Amino acid sequence: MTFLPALLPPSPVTPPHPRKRPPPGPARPVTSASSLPSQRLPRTASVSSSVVYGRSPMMAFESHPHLRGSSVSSSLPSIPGGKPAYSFHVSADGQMQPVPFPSDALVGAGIPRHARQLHTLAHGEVVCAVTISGSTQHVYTGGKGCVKVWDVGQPGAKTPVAQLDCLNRDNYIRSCKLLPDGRSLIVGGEASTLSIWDLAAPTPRIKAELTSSAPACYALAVSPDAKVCFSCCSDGNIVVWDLQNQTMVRQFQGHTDGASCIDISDYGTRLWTGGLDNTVRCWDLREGRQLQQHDFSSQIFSLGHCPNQDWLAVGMESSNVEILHVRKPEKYQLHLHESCVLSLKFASCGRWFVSTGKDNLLNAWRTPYGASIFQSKESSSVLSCDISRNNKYIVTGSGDKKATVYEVVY
Amino acid sequence: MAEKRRGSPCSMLSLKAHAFSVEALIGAEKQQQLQKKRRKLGAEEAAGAVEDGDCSRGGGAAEKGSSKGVEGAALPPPTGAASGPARSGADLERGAAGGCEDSFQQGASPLASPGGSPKGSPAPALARPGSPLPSPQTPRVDLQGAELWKRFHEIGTEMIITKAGRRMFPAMRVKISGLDPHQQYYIAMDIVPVDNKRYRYVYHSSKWMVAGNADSPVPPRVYIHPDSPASGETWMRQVISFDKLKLTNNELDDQGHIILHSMHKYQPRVHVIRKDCGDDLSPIKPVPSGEGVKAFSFPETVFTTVTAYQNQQITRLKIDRNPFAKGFRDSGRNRMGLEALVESYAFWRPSLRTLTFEDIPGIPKQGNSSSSTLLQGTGNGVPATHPHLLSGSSCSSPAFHLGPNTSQLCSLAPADYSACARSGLTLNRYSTSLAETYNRLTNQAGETFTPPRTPSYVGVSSSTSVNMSMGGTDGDTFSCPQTSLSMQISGMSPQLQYIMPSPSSNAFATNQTHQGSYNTFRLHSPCALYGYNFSTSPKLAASPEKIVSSQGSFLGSSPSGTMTDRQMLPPVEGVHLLSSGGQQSFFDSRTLGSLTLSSSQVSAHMV
Repeated sequence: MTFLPALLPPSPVTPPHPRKRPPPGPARPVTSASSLPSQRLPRTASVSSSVVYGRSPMMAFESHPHLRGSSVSSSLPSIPGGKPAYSFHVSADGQMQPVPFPSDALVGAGIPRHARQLHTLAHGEVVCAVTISGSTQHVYTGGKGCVKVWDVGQPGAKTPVAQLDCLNRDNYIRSCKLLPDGRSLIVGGEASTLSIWDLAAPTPRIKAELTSSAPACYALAVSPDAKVCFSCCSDGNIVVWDLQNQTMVRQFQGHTDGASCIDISDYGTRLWTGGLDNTVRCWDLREGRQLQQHDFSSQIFSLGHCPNQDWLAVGMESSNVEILHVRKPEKYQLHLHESCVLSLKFASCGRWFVSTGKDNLLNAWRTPYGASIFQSKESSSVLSCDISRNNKYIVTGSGDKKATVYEVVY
Repeated sequence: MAEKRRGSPCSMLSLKAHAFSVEALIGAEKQQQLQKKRRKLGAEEAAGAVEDGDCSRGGGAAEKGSSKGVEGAALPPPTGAASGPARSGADLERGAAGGCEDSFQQGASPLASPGGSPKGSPAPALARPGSPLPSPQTPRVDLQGAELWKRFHEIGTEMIITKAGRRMFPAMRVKISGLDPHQQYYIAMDIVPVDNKRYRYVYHSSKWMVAGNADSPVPPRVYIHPDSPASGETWMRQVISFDKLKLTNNELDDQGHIILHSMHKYQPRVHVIRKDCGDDLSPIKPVPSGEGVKAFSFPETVFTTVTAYQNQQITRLKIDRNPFAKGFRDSGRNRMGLEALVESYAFWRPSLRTLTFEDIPGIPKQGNSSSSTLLQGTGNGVPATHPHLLSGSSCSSPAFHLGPNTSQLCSLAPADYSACARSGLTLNRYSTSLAETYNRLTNQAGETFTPPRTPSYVGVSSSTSVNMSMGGTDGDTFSCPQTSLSMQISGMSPQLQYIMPSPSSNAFATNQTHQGSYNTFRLHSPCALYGYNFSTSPKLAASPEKIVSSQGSFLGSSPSGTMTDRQMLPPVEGVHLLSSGGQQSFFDSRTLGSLTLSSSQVSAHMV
């Protein structure tokens, strides 16, 4: 029988999960970048002990009841002898059923076991945007007015190696995205201008500024071919920018209130956006028109498209995470957050994703049914997150004016 | 597209976009942290200061409450207080409590203090100023229309309750400040008993007296403002009105109205509830309590429930001020046109009056001033006390009757006529233009005065249609009062009466032929009072009794013997009676005959 993962205690320590299979031997280098200093946090030796959380294995049990004070739990059907479920499958006719997780929910290649805090980057301002370079060498944290560049390939205390002043000192950066080649960074925030930075230069410098008519940009996405970038504006427009010519190509208009999040589907042909108008819309990039619209009962704050599967994960203001099937009218509803789900990101393998919330939680979930892989409780709201392309690092930006780099332990 | 507002870029964001900004997302969180810390604080202090009892609880609560909106700057002080010995914390609290009490004693003014009871009904209202931690973000509620409430309160506010539910007048309208713009709030209102007594109104002494104990408590009801939940910014942007709230005495009401007992005293309260504390908020449950909930009440909004108004003053004030009770209003308030004009003649008395030329001072001196003066508003400041309608001296002064609501022509015997003469017609305003007109009319040489054409005036008393009809024979004579025409003006309460003073003597005799033409005249428009410039006087309008009683307008007969609609006076400014410059005169039919009309004319003007 497979035990479901244990609840992570509210400390930075991420204890290992009790598993049936023997734990791995003495700490092995968990990353290829073994030069990375890792905080050798003591593992609880309870690996072999049966940390039984009193649940039957196959059901999605509430593994941390004290975190879920919401009324949802009280109204949920509970498995006799178990705890309330947090993952539900919603069928086409609206029927909600708790999800029985398959046996490979939490075990398998490419499925993390837990994550371990590696670095704390003291940005000094609320970190609303984070991204980690493809080489996993650098982390970019966006705060108030500026983006700071951190070298996480080096051990030791962290100070920024560069600072990019993008906006007025009082305007928050909301999104920073690296181009696929890693040589440019696009930054957008609560101002009308996007800035494109040349990182390859000896000191990063602005390559271009794109000015839109909207007062704020909440999210950015870059096309896989790096030719265009997409900006979600506070007025609901999705502006498409030609990066080479630095001009606006078109606008996708449809959202009736601010557009808050964006992702490109794997094929690069579709754009998914979520808005404060409670809708998720799908846009065809070639035809330039809206293809789908999904209506919700709450504002959408974050979304992500699974890289290789037909699932779209949506993080909502109502604390729900919903995983929609792109073509079928079914979805999963996950109830592990207690407050707005501020950011969400899929691992590049598509088999898991993380969501962060205003409830200080970082949740890792299994695609698509949302089995909880691990959780990390931070000290403040987690506004942003990113997963490195090699799925080895997770970076989160916190309301506590810092960013945290986690190492994913498999 | 999202709504855009002009202004600085940040203000161009929609409300949701605003709430999505980092400041909003993080700011709210800081509050939560603060509250957690305060909660701990409160626990410590409460433990250490139990003997302070209610007050300390209230004080602590006030402190906690007042710190709600603080963004973090205020965090150090309470931490410091708590970190010190618990005693000092308790002292702080006691001080706060004492302060609270003091300010409560003096701070009854709802506008001055941010509000009344911060917590629930049982606790005494603690005024926020007593808190040792003044924070700029303390919610503050200001009553709108406090003046009107005060006026009602001075009399003793009463609110009608019915089975179906009745709205309140005045309605609770408040303006809130000091909310976190990006936090979501519910605003709700409930009504709580002031005491446990039942009342009755003693008509003779015009007082409310206790009549026993209150009936058993009513089911709790809360009226949640329909805009809830909304961000603090939304709430602070507008006046929050609870005008849709209904009061009912039906204990089995299922419409969500607020249930009250009749003849009991109640106090409305406004609640500001943070969204995360609003899970328990329901229209059929008592307002939740907690640190996310703040209550505000205003002493002058206390009212007694009734099923019918007891105090007449209340009735009057309600009719006066409630736009929905307009239909009950007495004449003179919203009349337009002729109505307004005539009604503004507060000085018209209901009884018959006569105008005498003798009473018209300065007649000879009047010149032809005017068709222009006819139309002009009177600047001449007709002295209010002069009871006379001025008219041309030489014109035969017809006898004018101001009659009460007679709807038909009445021919008055001379005796009658004289009897009512001189009874001190207080035609204050009139006469200036009237006299002028009259004068003009009379002074037009060559015009023959045709007796039937009596300057007739219209006495306004109470309402009706516009039709004016002259009686048959009234055109005859200017002799003693003869006929009064009553002009019915539609929609007007006062009646306009025309009196065709019949020429008393042969001077008029020749003009009898012209009677016929006067037999009927119609008002061509409600404003068609000739020769009158009514100046509306706010004084007049303010005295309902006067308005009701005596109004009138003056008609003169046209020199040519025909009623001509010479001037259509715009009613707006009032119709000014023709006068000769500030004097009012009345015509007295008794003296009518004595006038030589040969050289004078009396023109009847249709205005």
